[in-house]
Amino acid sequence: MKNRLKVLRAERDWSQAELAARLDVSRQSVNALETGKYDPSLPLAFKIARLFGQPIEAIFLDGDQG
Amino acid sequence: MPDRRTLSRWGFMVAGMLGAIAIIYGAKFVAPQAHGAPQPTWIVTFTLASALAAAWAMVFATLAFRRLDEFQRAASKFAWYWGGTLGLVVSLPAYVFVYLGGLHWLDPAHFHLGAELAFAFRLGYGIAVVSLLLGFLVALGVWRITRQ
Repeated sequence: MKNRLKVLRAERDWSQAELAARLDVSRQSVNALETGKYDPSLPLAFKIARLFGQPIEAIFLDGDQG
Repeated sequence: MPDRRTLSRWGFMVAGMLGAIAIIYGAKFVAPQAHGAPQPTWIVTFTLASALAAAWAMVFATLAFRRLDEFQRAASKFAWYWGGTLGLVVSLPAYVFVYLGGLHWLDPAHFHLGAELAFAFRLGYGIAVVSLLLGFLVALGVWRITRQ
């Protein structure tokens, strides 16, 4: 699943480690999420959405939208 | 520098391993090994100590697992399932080879597999494989029951 995590993080000038700390996950998790190699659970997706103040579907794009 | 979560996970893993080893070695002081035939006291003490060590390790393994985030848990589940399954698959031909005397065939001077050893080997393999499969079925049952 594609997502806009990297763009959103860059807009805030956060490092992967900083974003990981804000989400309470490992930096490897953030990297895997950003590269689309791992899809988050719904709770984590909601947490990400809350952190960036955007709806989930504005951050994560399903295959048809990709 | 690893974060606090990672450090505490490593701490639990080390505590689990060292504690389990300490329990096993501690049993040596409770029931020193005697020469000759196995003593019932020694057998019971070490069996109980190994059960305690396994329980200790399990508690700390659980604590360490809880420190993993969901991505790391997914990696762990993947590795245990597919790694364990692959190991089990590989073990079958290895078991048959050894059980039929393959090691003796390769190196007759060092390996002898008489009836007693063959039975012990079969029993050891059986305990490991059956325990693994039972554990899998119990975990699967618990997962389904708690989600219905």
